Amino acid sequence: MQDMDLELEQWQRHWRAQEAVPPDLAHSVEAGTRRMRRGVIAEIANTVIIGGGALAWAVVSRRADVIVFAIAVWILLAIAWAVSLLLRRGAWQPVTATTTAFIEISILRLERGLQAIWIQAVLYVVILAFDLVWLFYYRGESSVGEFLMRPAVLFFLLIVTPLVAAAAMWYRRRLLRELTNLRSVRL
Amino acid sequence: MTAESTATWSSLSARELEQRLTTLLAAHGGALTRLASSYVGATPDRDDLVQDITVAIWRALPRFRGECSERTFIFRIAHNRAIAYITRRQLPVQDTEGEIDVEDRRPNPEESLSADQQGRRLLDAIQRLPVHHRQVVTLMLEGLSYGEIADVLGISETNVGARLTRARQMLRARL
Repeated sequence: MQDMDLELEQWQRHWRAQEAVPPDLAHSVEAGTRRMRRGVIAEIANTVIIGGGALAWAVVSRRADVIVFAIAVWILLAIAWAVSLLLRRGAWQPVTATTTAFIEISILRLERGLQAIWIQAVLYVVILAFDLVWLFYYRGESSVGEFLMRPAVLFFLLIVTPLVAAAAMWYRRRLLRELTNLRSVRL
Repeated sequence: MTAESTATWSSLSARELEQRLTTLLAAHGGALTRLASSYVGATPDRDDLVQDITVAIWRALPRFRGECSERTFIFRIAHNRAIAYITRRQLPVQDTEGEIDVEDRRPNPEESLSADQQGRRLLDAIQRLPVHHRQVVTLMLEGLSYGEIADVLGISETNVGARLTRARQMLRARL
């Protein structure tokens, strides 16, 4: 009888050793990894287009204000890259092929996603403020009030910014909901 | 499970039910996937079957009355769905006693195999069992008691004992 129980225990150990990650969870983590890869490609494209464009403009125009603009663009790109590398560190794949590891990596990605929203919000404000100040001087405007009432400026301040803020808040709520769910099922 | 919590289950909103489902799947998802493997192997069919089981559990959740444990409840659904799945897909169901045991002629690798490989070998042997033996064995391996297995499969505990004894003999011969 004791031998039989040992046999059963051994079978149970072997059976549970084929740790099966629920397909939904595995698919969601794989989809997250694909999104991260696409994110990196998009950032490379941004760097090449925006950074390359600013640099080319500075080289061609040789104007001091455009050179300042190009330097600022590259500083912001460097900050964005540093932040994105830090946020993606350790979040590429689960440490083992177990349900626990898949849940942990999903939680980590959601936490990093929430941090990213705040950092992106700060970067958005900094970039917008810099662009407005730079444009003000570049265009040789004399009145701040008149400049701020220009249709393009109003469009960015009153339409684009609230839309971006609303999208960020919606996305943050979605991430928080997913995070609460996943934390409640932490094994 | 109290009457109060039972009432709560049936009156949960869709979002709360979704959270319960997520909790159940996180706790038993691995077991459900292993169970699906015992019917269709570690194939793409397994993912389909797990999906099928998940949908069936989701649909059945509001009707959960707390007359048995959550584990018994979802395993019962899982086995029913698995049987329906392999019948619908006309996948091979070895429902005979399978007296012809094919001896594994590979050299005795027991010692050198990793736990995972041994798990696969065990799965392979379980898959070759007749369905009614396979069911009791997989539930036993997931740690269910005789009473719970009887509850899941709708048979008596005596019957569970008899099937298990026979199933273990067959497994022993095949491993």
